[in-house]
Amino acid sequence: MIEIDSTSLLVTTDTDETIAQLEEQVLKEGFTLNYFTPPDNQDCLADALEERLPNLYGEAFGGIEELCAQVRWIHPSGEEYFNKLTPRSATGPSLKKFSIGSDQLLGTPIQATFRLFPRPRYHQYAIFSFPSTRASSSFKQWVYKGRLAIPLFVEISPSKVEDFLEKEKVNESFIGAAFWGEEKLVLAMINTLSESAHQKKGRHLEIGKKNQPEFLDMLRKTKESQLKKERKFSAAKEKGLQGLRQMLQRCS
Amino acid sequence: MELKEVNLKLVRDLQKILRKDQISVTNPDRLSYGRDSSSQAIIWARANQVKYPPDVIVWPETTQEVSKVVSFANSKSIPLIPFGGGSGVCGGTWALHGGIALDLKRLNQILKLDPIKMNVRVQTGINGEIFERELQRRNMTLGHFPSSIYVATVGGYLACRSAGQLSTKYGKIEDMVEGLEVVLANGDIVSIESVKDQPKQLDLKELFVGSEGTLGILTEATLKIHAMPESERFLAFQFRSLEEGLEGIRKILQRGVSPAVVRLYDELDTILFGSHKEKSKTGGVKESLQNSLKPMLTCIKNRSLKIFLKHTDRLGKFLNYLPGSCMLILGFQGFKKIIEAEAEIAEEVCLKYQAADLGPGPGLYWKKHRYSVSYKLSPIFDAGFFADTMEVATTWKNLSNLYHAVREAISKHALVLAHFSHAYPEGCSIYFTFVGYGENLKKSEDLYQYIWREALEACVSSGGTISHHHGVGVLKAGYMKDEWGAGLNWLNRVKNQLDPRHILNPGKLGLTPLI
Repeated sequence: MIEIDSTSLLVTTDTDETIAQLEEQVLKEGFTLNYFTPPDNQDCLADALEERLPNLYGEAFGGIEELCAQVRWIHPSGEEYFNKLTPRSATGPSLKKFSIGSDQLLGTPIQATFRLFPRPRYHQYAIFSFPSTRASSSFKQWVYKGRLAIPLFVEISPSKVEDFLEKEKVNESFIGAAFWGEEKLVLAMINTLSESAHQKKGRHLEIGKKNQPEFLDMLRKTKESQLKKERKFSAAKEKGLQGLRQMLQRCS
Repeated sequence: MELKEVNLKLVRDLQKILRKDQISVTNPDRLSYGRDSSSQAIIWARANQVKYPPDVIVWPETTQEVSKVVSFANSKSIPLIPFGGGSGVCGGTWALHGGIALDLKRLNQILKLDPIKMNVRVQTGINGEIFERELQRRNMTLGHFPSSIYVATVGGYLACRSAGQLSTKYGKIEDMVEGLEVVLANGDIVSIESVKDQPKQLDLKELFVGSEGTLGILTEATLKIHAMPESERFLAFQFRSLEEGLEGIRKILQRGVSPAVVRLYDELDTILFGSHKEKSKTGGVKESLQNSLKPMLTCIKNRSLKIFLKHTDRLGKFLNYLPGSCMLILGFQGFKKIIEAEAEIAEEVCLKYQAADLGPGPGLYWKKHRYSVSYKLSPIFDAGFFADTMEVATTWKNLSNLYHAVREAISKHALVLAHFSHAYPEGCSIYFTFVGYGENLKKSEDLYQYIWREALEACVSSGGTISHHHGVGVLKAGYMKDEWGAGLNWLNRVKNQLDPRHILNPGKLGLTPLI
């Protein structure tokens, strides 16, 4: 880690560190990256930037292209490319967003600046239980429409729920969720979700403290497999873009 | 005004692609399309000058027609300038080398609204306000409300990475794009899909959004939409100083609160805002100062302002004695319980700085009048003044430095005020407005350009970005090397690959022209 700007909540680092190493360092300073790549954040930052490794918490905090504020690339020609360190700009295409995930089209990333978040003091974990998949789908759609920024929000199978619910299991469709951040905001969000779940004949069940780490782990794994399913890139979408890609390859 | 004679062969060739009513070479059309809404163009127009008219204007009605026109222009190396609503303020649609103005306004259909995926496929020539109205009829919103909404098109939004007044919650236009259809210089039509959560896939949309028509013509876009908010709430506070106001915004955002509206007015802008209201809540000395400044600020025709503006150094000193208080407006939209929690946190932060609670009034007033300001420019130009706006951005750590550097650069030559909007957890944009005066066209133009050079140099040397949401066009093209560094070489290589004859909007974005 090179520098923390605690006013702008930014950390600048060399990219040969792993995400886990950087996370550990910023945690000590009272921050978190809110970036998590499966299985355990062991990817190197350079790989994460070259490949645009998806963020499991992306629904709430964005992908690496949003979490990263600046990247420096060294091109084989010796030229160094980097975007201006600014929250947004309107000075042409976004070199940052185009370069992240471009493999090595612009060279190798050597340094990057990431956004930081205050280390959350408040966590909540919940299961929303519904009598039918139709009801849980309707709930999921309502959350999606409301664009609620929930770090983890995934459908979980009844077999996985058993470990976390002590009593009866009358319902058949479940959604697990993890929340962290400012207490007032988390509580307001959970209240809003509970009300909506209730309207759809669902129930909001809290996860006890001792089960929370396991529950989080289960949510991450479920989310990861969900992302893998969504990742099937259609060959049809590729059509027509090959010429454009080849032209861009020639630029490098 | 004398215009260059039109090449009739060009018109005959275009008539093989389009109907006659899709082509115009009339002088009124060429003059209309030879300018945008930039202050420079207004200064010229008021002196009966339109410097960069196109030779011909075409109105394609389908992507295929766009493709045919582009292919034709490419085969003949004729410059092609994409044109939307003409609301740009940086000269981005000036036909610097003549050629064809490609007006996309007839590509104005909403193609598909997907309430499950919460996105909409739209043609880029649709007007921003009509588009938003159509979405709201279906209880949806784009969440994009730029001041130019009544004039601009979706294509214009995308071309220069536009920002709306509620961008702190909904994002800038680039945050809303999920897919694009682009016509390349060789006429190829490509469809670009979102690569969200797809590792190792080039995010091609990021190449075209913001490219100001220099890399391809955007004909369709898939944009993220939102359900209409359940609830809305406004707060306003009077901070003792600008610095405290900025700290307040920063802390609110960094605690995870996302207000839809964030507007902190600097000292002069706070007085100007207050002078528009019938009754000021600030009272005392401030109110009497507001009252004394009111004629100066609102009756721009007043001769005294001309005298002031001839002595901007003295004006600057006078303004330094203004009371230091600054007004912050916050607006929240969304689920009732959530916005109540957000407002509670915001209030807690502001009160820690002993900011005075002004209630919802200023926010509601702002909302009612939020599009009016753009229409106040005409009287300023009528009176012989010129006015313009400059939007820059940087990180929080550098924000005060950037504000003072740019303000000082402008205030030597013009009256300048600013507000801070479009805030993010890591930084913020600053929106400067300046009013200057030159005794004649030549003096006005010289001073106007001098102010821009000084302001842009101050911005660059203070580490800010030269544009947050107006784009580059011609106005800021000379500073792209400072903005991009060696990256501009790469962008030039991309331009040479995608558009080897440089037909697409030549002379814009600081790209190296073909020799």
